Amino acid sequence: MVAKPIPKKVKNLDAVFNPDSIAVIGASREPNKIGHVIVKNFIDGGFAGRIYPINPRAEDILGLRAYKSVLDIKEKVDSAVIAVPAAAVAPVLEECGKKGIRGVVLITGGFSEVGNSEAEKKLAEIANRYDIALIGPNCMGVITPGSRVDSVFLPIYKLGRPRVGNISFISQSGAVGGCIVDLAARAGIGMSKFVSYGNAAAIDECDLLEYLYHDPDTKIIVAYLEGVKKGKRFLEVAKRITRKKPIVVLKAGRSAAGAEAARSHTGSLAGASEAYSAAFKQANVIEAQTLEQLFDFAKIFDQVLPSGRRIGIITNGGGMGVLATDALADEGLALSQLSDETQKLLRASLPPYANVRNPLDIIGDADSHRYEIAINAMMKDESVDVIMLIILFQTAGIDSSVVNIAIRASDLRKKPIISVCSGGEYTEMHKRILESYGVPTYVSPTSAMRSISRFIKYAEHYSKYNTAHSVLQAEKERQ
Amino acid sequence: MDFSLLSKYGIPFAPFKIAKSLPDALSASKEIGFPVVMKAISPQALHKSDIGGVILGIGDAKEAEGAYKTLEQRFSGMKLEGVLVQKMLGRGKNTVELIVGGKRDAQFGQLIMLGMGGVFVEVYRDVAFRVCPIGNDDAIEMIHELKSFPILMGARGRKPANISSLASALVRVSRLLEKENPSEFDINPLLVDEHGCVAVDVRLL
Repeated sequence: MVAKPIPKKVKNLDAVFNPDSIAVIGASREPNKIGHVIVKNFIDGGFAGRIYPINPRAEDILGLRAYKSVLDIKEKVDSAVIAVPAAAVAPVLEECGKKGIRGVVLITGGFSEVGNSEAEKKLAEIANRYDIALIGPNCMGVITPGSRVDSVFLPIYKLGRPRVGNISFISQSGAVGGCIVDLAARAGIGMSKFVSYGNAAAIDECDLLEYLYHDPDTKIIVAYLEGVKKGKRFLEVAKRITRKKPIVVLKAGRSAAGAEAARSHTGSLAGASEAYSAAFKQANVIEAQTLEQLFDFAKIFDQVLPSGRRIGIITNGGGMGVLATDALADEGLALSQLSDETQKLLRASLPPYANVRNPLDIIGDADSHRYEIAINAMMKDESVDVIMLIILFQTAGIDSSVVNIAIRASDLRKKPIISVCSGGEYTEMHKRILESYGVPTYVSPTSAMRSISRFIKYAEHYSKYNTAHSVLQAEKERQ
Repeated sequence: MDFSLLSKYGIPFAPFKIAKSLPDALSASKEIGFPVVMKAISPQALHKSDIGGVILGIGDAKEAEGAYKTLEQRFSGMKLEGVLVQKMLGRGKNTVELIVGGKRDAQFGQLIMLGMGGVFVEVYRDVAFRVCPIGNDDAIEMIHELKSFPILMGARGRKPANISSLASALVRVSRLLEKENPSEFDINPLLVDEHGCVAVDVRLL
């Protein structure tokens, strides 16, 4: 299958996410104005490129020289953020086109979301004429932690910014997107890109997916959707992407479906949510049902893909092992049968009262060293495809060094390591550290197992497709 | 008639004839061979069994006459366009009743549905959906997705259903949906057993 060339406007999203220079159109001197917060966030966030505030009535803003129009700037400008009133948007967008600006984030609302579709069509027409990658209108902006691009108009002290990572997150809703970014930042989850894309006048969810598919900094794609613009195209694009990168989606607006009276049985059983779920299944998109699940499912993909569905469980609390086993059964996963060799080794190194079967209970008096022995044993054992590390930080024997052991094991990238830490503030602190070093950490065995099962299902699909593909490829080369 | 659509796409269905009069109905019954079923054809008879528009287990000519008259009586106030006389298929111990349907979705186009049949389909909601077109792999996945899958695989000493003929029927229905693009479509029930599957009733909107 020959891939279609990527449209120029989609390629130009580079200018949105990684610009060398940026104009803020509608920059303001008043601290409560959006146009002020955006300039301030670029400065405070440490953006290394040039920042050009645009304001026809100001000499300087936050110490930077202000310009009347982007056309007055002599140097090249890659990207612009627009936050002027709706009526003033079209002319400044036109100026961006003339200036050769390739990427625009249009914050301003008051278009199709309030029935003003004509004005929005005109914006799309301008953007398409100049091949501008136009995000919005009616959106909250873009964050690229790596290049310190941050056009989100919420103050940094109110909305935490995530560390650099490899999850990219697209959100139709600005409010929900903002919340999730804030939560991810606090949990220690890293992001490559965040984009709130609003009304999607010129760049829609499929364009963004297409861009992220080709983006080397994105390993995992997360999407919050209320609807897609073109169902069939979404299905085609998503199906192609999931062969290489996982997509996790939360589709909102499930309940509105089925309200309309249907006449046949199928009609009464099929609402819009069934259509979406069916499409997600066919495209191997991982569907989350709640906000919590969205990043629970996504963050696990930081780990190497598992080669099977057998789980090895290590715990310092027997009860947690039982809960994990229940959750494992609910998800249809298998418990590893530890080899005789592993059991012998464990019996020799662990205290005699430890249970050397799976779940491997290293007992409430376990210290970090015992975790190390257990992890090493499971790393070597062929019967273990995924290691679940349950750490109860409440016990006397456990200290912070167990975190290093877990991170080191995860960094080997031999087998996926997933940890479960349930508890209060002390536990949370360690959970954040684990998370920020790429060890996905869950509050309960249930939520961990649920994520593991999505992970395994994706891995099965991935290897099935890619094995078949490489066989075909090799056959072609032989001919 | 919607059954001719099934034959066009190679979806097996129970043999039938349409009768416009009593003598018609009697000769149709004999030709098809007893036992037969009679179904009222009327725009008002959407859920036919709810208003007594279906008479099952007609064993001979005398019962056929009675059944035809009963239908005429029950539909006296409504428009009765004719009576469909159909071979009554035995539901053996291995028979499973399924429903296969379609619906046009504003976003994704035709959706195909497979579900466990019977009068409680809406209660149990044991259904699987896909966006059309589907291939054989998708069809197999849909069958797997049903909670009732173990029943199809022969739970409790039954013979396993003929999965490949069911999958093939699903692929054919997907083709029908893509070509005909109905707003809604039902085959209910579709009977499946170890030998194969057969549509008993069909409705296209």
